[in-house]
Amino acid sequence: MLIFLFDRGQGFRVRKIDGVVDFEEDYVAELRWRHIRGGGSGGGGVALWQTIKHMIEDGCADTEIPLPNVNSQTLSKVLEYCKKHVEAAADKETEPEDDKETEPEDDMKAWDTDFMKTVADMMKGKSPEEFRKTFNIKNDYTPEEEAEVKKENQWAFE
Amino acid sequence: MVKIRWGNYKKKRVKSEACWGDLDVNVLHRILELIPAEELFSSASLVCRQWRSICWEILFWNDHETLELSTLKHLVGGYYASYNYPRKLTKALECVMNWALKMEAQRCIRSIVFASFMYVKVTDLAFVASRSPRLRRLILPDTHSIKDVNEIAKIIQKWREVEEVSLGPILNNRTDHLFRRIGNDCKHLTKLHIFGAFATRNPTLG
Repeated sequence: MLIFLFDRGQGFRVRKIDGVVDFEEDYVAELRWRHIRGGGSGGGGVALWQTIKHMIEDGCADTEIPLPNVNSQTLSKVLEYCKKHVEAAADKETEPEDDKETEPEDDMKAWDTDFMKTVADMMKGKSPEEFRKTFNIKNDYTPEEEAEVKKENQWAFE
Repeated sequence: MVKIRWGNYKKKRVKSEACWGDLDVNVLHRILELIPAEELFSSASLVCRQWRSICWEILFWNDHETLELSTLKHLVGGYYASYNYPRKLTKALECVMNWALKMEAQRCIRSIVFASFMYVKVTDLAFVASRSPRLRRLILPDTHSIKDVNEIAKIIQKWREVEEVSLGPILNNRTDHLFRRIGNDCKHLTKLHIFGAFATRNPTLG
């Protein structure tokens, strides 16, 4: 079982616990996720999920991963994302009939597309620096390299 | 449904850091695909190395060995829209080809698809040829700016491994020169397309 915990100050935490979950009153949510029917079915959503899952399995025996500096917009989207997948998982549990099984799957795909669109919309019109801030990405260019890359790209702005 | 129980949640201090930079490459790829080309080029590609490589893949690579230059033309702008179009195009091609050369360890340019109405000059084409020695397929739908057939032939000769060449109309010159020259040097050539009209002194040669 995986739990997403939202922390107002520091960002957003993922916590893995078996069984029932305890959490502090002010921390917003506990959400359960079930991996729906193996890899790939949910498209990008599953990939995103797998990333988080791998992060937990590989890096942190501690079972808790902070995702710092995630802004509220991203956060709400991720929360929505989790909810949606939890609901889909719940639907699957209650309605195991074969003919209905494809519906949530398609719904998920559409939702994943929407998810990507939202993230892409957030990206539009941002400067590289803003990108790094929003998505907490480390700039691995050396200053010289960055200048060189900018110079190489210069023609597009003439 | 989800079970929630309010209670004590002891905060733990965690040292490991994870972030959006660790986002799965495929997801990032799919997200970046939705962003306009101009922004990908001018902004997103400057974020970090990984982003640059993804952005350029979206912008210029069709598959892992095909360089597709229609987006480049779009970024340069229209021929009539800008008085310095030829200079800009030269710089743009330099930029892309130099980068492709740097990426040579990961991928090798096997085919290049130029855009139509791109007005590629002979010098540009020669530069591209010098940066893509192992090319197998060339598609150059626009030959307006290339006046001399011998010059095209000279350039194509440099691609020793070329198998397929598609060229735009060749009106100003006799094509038999072209056939003869590249026929001698490009041993692997199996297909030569010429779109539109071409001129030859001896029609039976065609």
